[in-house]
Amino acid sequence: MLVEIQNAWKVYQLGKTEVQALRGVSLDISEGDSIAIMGPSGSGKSTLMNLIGCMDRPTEGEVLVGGVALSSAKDNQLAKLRSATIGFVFQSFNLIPRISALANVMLPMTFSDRIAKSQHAAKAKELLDRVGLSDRMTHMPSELSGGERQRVSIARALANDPPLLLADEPTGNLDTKTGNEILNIFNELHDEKRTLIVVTHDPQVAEHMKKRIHMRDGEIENGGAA
Amino acid sequence: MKIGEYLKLSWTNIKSHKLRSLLSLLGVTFGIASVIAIMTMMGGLEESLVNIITQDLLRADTINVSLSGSFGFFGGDRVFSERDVDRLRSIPGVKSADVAGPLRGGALYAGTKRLLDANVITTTDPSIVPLGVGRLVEGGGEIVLGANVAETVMKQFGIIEEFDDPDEEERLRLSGQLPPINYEQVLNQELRMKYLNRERKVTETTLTVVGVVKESQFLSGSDSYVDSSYYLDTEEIDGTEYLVFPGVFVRVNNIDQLVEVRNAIETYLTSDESDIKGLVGSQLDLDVQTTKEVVDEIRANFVGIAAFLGGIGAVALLVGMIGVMNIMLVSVKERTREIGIMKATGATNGFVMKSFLTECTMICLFGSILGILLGMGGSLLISQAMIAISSGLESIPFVFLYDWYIIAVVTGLVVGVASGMYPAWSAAKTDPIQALRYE
Repeated sequence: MLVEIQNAWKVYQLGKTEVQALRGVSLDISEGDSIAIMGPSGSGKSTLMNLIGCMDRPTEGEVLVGGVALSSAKDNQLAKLRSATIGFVFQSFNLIPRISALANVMLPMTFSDRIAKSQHAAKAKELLDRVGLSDRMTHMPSELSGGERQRVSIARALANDPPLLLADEPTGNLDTKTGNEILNIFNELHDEKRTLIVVTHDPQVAEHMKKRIHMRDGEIENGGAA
Repeated sequence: MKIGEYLKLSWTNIKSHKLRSLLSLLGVTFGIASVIAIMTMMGGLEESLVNIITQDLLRADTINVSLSGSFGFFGGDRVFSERDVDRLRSIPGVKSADVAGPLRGGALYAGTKRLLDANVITTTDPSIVPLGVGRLVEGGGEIVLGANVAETVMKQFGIIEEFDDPDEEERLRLSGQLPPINYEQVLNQELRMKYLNRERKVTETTLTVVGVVKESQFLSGSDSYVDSSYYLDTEEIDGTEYLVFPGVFVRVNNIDQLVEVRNAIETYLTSDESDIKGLVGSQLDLDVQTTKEVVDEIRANFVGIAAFLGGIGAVALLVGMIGVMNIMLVSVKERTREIGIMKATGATNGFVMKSFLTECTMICLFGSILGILLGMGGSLLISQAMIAISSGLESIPFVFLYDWYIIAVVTGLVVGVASGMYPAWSAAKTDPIQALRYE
């Protein structure tokens, strides 16, 4: 099992109010799954994604990613886990604006020993080539269109060959045509047996995924066995 | 990740915020530059003063005896009797004990005109006179003039042109439009000297100029030297009139005995055997110093002044450091989202911390290196200002202060780490989830 979520709670203190962002969520994600997490704003889907992405720890319950329990993991262990297991794709791309597309893709490799230093550039070129940006490698993010930026961000997510890709509204800032191109890349990645988790409002995006989870008020509506 | 990669990444960050990096760098640069400039100037001043003292005035084998605070050679109260000097000569290891002091009531005349600002000094060891041209006095009727006195004499006798405006003359001489003064031309001129004889009556004599004292910014150009036979300043001690002097300089046979002899002199002069107590009735504060001690004292004084002036520079450095810290904090805030991205893609807290720290240290290191160069240049300006506000100083040599360059670089590193520590720590502690939401 790639990810095991066991009765996870996440409770925030927002001023004097206690916010229960997750209320006992259980979910198993196996390798090769493709899952859409859906739900209205405030339903807890971002919180769930942060837990799966090893960016956060549950207040109660447990989340195991690659067999590592997050609740007791140190900051550095979480960082190593992210580096080895997770590739993030964000709605707003989150590329570093001051460095080229190629340098952005190489960035996660510097945080990991997975790929030899001498191979970083070659590997990044190969990934940019595979998302169709072989002629845009030296461009700065500001010189790229939204679709192109999202492709760079997918290439970056694949830099360390992580088993799990985590996408938060990956088409949210793109027009339909460009969005479909991005989704086609996701389909290809799924065909390669990569695990995909996409958080989205958009039912059309969710259609591309094999399983769909609906969240409401910090709980999974249609059962956690997805 | 290796240090080289941190340096590379930091360099990218510095380059992409050129103006900001430059501004924070300049804060450190000016702090370091002001310290280096002051130290270079003070070092130059110290070296030239010590050189004149060790090469032209004092010798390594000499012990200088004077009242505390006065340099007996040029004046001060006359407390050392002829008899005491004789007794110093009998201390084992002493090669010679010579005296020097200004001639009381001595006045010089060129023709009919009184030469103002002319001190007449006599010494039993003419070889201590730092000679410029001519020769030393070998007996009565001869005089070695101070450089300023020689110049006045030459003007009085029409050997060189007299200017109404001394500033104009100086300007012309410095610019080379007037040739430098040839002091040879004053040799063999005759001057008159009035002084008090043994009966304390004004006596007049004629003196032939045989030499001129070396021109130096640290030697008074008004001190002229005559034979010791003109020195007739006496006090009655135990019913007898003895000559009394403001200073004694003792030379030793063997330089290894210097300290030993120094201590013996001190013991004698502070004992009841010495005439000093009988003469003034109380214990006096004496300086009995070897040349090395004189030099050490001068150096110690310089350290004090340099520490004070350097302290002002250090304040500038502190201000610069706060500036760097401020800019780094702004940088961290501005790059919050970037920190979030790096953390999401696997950067550890340690990496984030080190990358900011490296960047800050690099800025401060460049700043301090630039500061050293700027300070070396700035010392020339400060030296000019120092010369302009002081009377008598003509030049301050430039010295390389390698110790201080190392201190400056190390300070740059320390300032970099110190000012980067908090911003880097706050960057490392940034919550990646919050950071990614940061607009």
